[in-house]
Amino acid sequence: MASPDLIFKAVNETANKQDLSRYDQNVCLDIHRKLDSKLKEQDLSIAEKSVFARNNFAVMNKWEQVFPAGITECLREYFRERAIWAPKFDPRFPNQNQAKNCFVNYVDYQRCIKLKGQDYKDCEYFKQAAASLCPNQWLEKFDEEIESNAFPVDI
Amino acid sequence: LSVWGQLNLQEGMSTIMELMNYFHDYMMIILVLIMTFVTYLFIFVITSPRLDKYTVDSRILETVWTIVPMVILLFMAFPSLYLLYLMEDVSNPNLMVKVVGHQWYWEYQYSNSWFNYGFDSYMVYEKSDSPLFHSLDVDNRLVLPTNANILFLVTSADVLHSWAVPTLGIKTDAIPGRLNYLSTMTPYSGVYYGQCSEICGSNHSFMPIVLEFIPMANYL
Repeated sequence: MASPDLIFKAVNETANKQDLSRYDQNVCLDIHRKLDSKLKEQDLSIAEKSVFARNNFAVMNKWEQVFPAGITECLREYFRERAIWAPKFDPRFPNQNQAKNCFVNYVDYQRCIKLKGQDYKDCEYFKQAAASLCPNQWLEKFDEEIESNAFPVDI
Repeated sequence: LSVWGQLNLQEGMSTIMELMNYFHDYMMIILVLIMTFVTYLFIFVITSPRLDKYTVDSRILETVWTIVPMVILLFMAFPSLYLLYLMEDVSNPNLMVKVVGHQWYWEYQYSNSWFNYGFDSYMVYEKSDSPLFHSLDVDNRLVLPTNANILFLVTSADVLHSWAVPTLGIKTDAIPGRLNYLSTMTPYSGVYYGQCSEICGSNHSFMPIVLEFIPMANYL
């Protein structure tokens, strides 16, 4: 699980002896990149990253006491963007009907866990995308069909 | 929210709807000018003693009355196409909300990477002296953050419905088996109302939609 030390390290490594009380676009982008790379090193799942961002956003007033104003604004922006995750625009489905998008992500998830096992980390993208796109009723129906071997597509 | 006797569009609260309101006003100016001109000509032809009754053809007149409407149409076409393509924006959404229409209520589902929460939204049947809006308020409002690109995925569990919020300029049919998407973004906090827009049975008029936008800080 990510710890707050990451944030300290990222900020200290990037922000040099500049005037940090004002928001600086370039310094901010550096901090964002540094935080991204540190989180990537931790190898967190999508859900864990969102929770980390959300928890830090919730205690933003505490971070305000630690860092100067410019850095705080930068961090607030970073956490606000990452607290809620949604799958990116999929160019395979540019039209208004996204039913196929939902279905394809679900099928990809089932195939991924069949091939790689339930605990394989990278299958999580498909699972999160299907959970975001598909209504719960559809997901329950698909799960029942898989259990009763009546799913329309070979997994 | 529309009021009794309202003739104009509702105030635009999303970026697209504001642009649509400006476009509507711009088009209305052009159309009123044309209508005034035609009405004047009409009255002139009927009442004026100075009308020339013996003109049979005039090449200049025919050229002018072809070129001028063409120019007017060009002025109308450019903003129209610009707005049309802007509405088809494919920006990456920040938040996805699923809307499922039932007879006769809406069900909203937020699914995020770390929570999955769904609830039903029924109309509130209140007596006339209550502070809530008659046939517009619901028991559970859909709460959303401002300044976020929100993608609504609308479908239905039984019959055709249509999910509409006119203040944001959004409307899409809720069709069983189909998952239509709608994108919106609003910088303004507030409570916005809409109603089901496709006949769906006896309580079609009694399944309203209420969205409550709050700042992102309070939302999370």
